[in-house]
Amino acid sequence: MSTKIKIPTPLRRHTNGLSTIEISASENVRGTLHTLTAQYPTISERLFDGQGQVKTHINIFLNNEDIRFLNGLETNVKDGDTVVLLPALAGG
Amino acid sequence: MSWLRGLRCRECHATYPIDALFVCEECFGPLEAYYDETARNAHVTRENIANGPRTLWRYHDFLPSEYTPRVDLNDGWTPLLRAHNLGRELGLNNLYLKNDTVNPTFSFKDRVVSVAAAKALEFDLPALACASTGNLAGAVAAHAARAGLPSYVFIPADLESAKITSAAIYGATIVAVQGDYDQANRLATEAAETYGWGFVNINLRPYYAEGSKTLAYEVAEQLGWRAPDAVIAPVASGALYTKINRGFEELYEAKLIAGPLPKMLGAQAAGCAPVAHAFGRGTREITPVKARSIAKSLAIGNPADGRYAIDAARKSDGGVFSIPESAVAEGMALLARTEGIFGETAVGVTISVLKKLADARALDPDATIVAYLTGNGLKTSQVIDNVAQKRIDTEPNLEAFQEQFEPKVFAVA
Repeated sequence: MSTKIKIPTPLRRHTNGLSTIEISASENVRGTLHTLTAQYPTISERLFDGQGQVKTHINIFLNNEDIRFLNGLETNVKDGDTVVLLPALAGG
Repeated sequence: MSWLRGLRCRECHATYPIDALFVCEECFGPLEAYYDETARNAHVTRENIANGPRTLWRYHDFLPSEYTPRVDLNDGWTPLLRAHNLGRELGLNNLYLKNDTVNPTFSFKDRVVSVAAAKALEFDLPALACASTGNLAGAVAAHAARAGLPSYVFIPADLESAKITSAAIYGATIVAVQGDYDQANRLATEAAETYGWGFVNINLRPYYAEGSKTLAYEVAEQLGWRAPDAVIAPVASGALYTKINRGFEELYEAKLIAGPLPKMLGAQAAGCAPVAHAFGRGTREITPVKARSIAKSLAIGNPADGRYAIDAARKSDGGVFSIPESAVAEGMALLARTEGIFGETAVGVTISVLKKLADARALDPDATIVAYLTGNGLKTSQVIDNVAQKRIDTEPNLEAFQEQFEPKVFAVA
């Protein structure tokens, strides 16, 4: 039972340079990210603001979908899912 | 020489060297170009600019790159036209149109790509790439061809076929993503981390975005070094809108124009109006939406610069507004019928929001107002297929023609 987390370049100095991290599956995205930040504590303040909310400029995808269109951090995660962290930016 | 000094995070102000970087390692905020503005402002004059090339590179002192003719397709320096007919219909006595439909690939995107391509060559990147709603794909492909680089354009698979063709013809590899623009953008962001290409609106974004400032510089110069009272532009990611605002600010800071600076008016269509919604709710926090608009070039549901667009709207006493989807084609037809310019769907959105504000008496009738026409209608012509045509079907002889024509003239009269 595991989940993959993809780490974008600007965060890789907090993960010993790893671009993909496999962790034991949690119930939801929040739990998955908590497991990540437990392993790599310095990543926490990069991902979350003082209120524990995901920072504005970060997009989190569960497989192909932005979690804001699912159930946010409470979105359920299944075995084999991939959580993708990406900087938010867009421009046609 | 360039006055560029580095990149700076828009949120936490951490600074970075001049490189293909776009996101702050501290807070994930977007990076922006910054300049030695004091030295530049002491150097620039109206005369220097007027002696420059008749392209956007006449403003190279305000751009993050030297003038590099080898990727220059004569981008920018497009006409500013007085719009008497449309102005009369809308009750606006000093309306102007900035016609960016006549850029080399028929949209304002040539401006941003001109700058990004110059930077890609400077950084010795092996290819140009982008995520695009269409216009950018064509601009990237054309400039890559001109620069002798391969290009890769990531687009939603359901894009207007004319937009796909107008990238493919230049030899671009079309990556047709099964999903909307935001999903194409997500894939492109991951690809940008994997391949060393110059993604103009990702890892070259801090430079690329600067090209849009030239839409402000040109308008001010074409009005005789004067800021209009208000400008209206479409809002997709919000980058164009915020950079037009920044362009006017820079001219003011360099004492090339006097104040006050223009009211910034922004236009979205109801099918994708997250910035207009946030503005209307009085917040700067954008709630992403699933884009469902026929104005595909504006269909960005998660606009990265939306909050900055709202800041510019508030600061300038302007606003970001939306119109129903049905008004998109109406706006295109109104402009074409009154002024002889066939703009794309985003232009239809802009003209319809202008009409909405004029009809609501929200604009001073004597104010100098400039509407930015950002792309050519031939790329999105399918949306106006249902527009009523004045058409006469006839046999090839005068009698038959008159038989068809005169009753119709009579009927119209």
